[in-house]
Amino acid sequence: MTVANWTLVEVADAIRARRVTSREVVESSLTRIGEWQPRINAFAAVLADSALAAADRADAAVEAGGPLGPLHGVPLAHKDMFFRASRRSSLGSYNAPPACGAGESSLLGRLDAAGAVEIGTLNMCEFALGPTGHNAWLGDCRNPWHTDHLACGSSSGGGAAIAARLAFGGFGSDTGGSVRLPASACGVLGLKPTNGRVTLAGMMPLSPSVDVPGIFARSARDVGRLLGVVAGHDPRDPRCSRMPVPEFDAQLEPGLARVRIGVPQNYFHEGIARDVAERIAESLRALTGLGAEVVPVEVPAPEHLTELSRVLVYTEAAAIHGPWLREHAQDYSPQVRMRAATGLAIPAAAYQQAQQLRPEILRRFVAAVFAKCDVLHLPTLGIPVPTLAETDVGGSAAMWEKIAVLVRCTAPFNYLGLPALSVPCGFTDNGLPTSFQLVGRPFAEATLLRVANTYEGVTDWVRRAPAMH
Amino acid sequence: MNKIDSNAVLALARAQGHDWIDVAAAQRIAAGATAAVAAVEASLLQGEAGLLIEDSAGFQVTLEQLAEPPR
Repeated sequence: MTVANWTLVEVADAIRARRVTSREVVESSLTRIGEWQPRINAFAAVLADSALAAADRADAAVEAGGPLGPLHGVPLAHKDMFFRASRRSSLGSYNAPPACGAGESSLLGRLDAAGAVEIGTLNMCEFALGPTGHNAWLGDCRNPWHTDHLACGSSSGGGAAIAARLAFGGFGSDTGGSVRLPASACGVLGLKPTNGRVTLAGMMPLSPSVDVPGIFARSARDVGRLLGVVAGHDPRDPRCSRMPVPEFDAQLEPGLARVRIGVPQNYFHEGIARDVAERIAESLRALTGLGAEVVPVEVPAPEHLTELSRVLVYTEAAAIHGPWLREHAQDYSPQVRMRAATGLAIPAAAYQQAQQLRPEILRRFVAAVFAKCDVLHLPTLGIPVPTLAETDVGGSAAMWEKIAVLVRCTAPFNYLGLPALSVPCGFTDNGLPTSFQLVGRPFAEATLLRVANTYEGVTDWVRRAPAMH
Repeated sequence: MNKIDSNAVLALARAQGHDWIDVAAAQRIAAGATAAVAAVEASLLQGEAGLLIEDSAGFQVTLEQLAEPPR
């Protein structure tokens, strides 16, 4: 097996044990990027020189025998919206407003301290506002399994790059499904942590009360390794929680005895495509075979959660982009300027109500759902991955419906702030990946990862790689 | 459900200096805003008096209060 197919934890262990050097791993990734980038456009920028220099420093540290971080020498790539003072982030845009921020990302600082090598910045939807992966300025990101199809978004490059084995993991942002959707479309794991679990300092804001950084990786153990590095209180981010951070790696013991998996009886399976439904049902049977108990669950008022989230997202996006949009409307693509401007038409009272309702709706949801189960099991995306052409609706009247279909199963959990993990579970009839989604109580990421890790033990979906056609 | 009128959106946009918003754009913005605001209204109807005395800054505290107990 080539180095590129190793998981993040496997390659970190190999570098530490001197079975491979960081330079060899980084060079392998750069070679693959050279082959794949013209086909899938997953990167906004490739940082070859600085990555090779960092790899050489990492190898020197191994030789010196000093302490090594949990990501020592491992090449990662992140959505182009985590700031460094030494460079300009594109934010997927033509001309970004100053209100989008600058400075240094605390998250990148934690990854640096853990020894990670940043190999590039990743393509994304303009200002992280779009679920498809279209981008008029950077060029569309394409799905490595079939380049006519969506990588989904808004962290489009994250799904595409990690699936194509161009990096061993990476971070995006998830405000409505923007990590879970590209992870599902491209066949890798995607975690939206609990809001407040991971710092937002130095990450481009779209909607600060809803935004959360998310993780792309190719195993549950890899996700846990990355989460363990970046989670925990950050004095630079007042929203960042002081909740204890478990040792996610250590809590991955396989086995699902006494785990209750809730299957929603309303909303989330309505309108789901036949082939997606078959893969979801197969995954549930596999989990049952591993000892989990399946329980039916009635989810309280899910039909409103996505729109409640939109009240927050569009209003906060309008607050950030409104002044710039007034003077630079031509610098936004039609769909993004239309969606950002929607916040201008939402009454302030409705925004305040959506904020005030949020804690009570969360309490009712947790009481109704997690009294009966430990995790919810549902689709990430209820349809097969569409083509770029059929979703290229710009700012036309069709955009609301297209967007609604894509985020139907993901956006509700952004309003609720709950952790959600997308886990590959096979392929639909068009040959594109599909996934189930696990949702847990607040700060229950370790439980989600344990279920996913156990599932990985009896399936090989995450080990399948797209081929270059 | 209260429908947000596209003419009102257009007037509001002009008042805020967003001259790029034309009639077609105002109609699409109105459709999106109407759906979003309707969800708020529906959620209020399902709730009881007192729901709106919540401190919205308490959302993060609520997440922590409802956290899964440590294993």
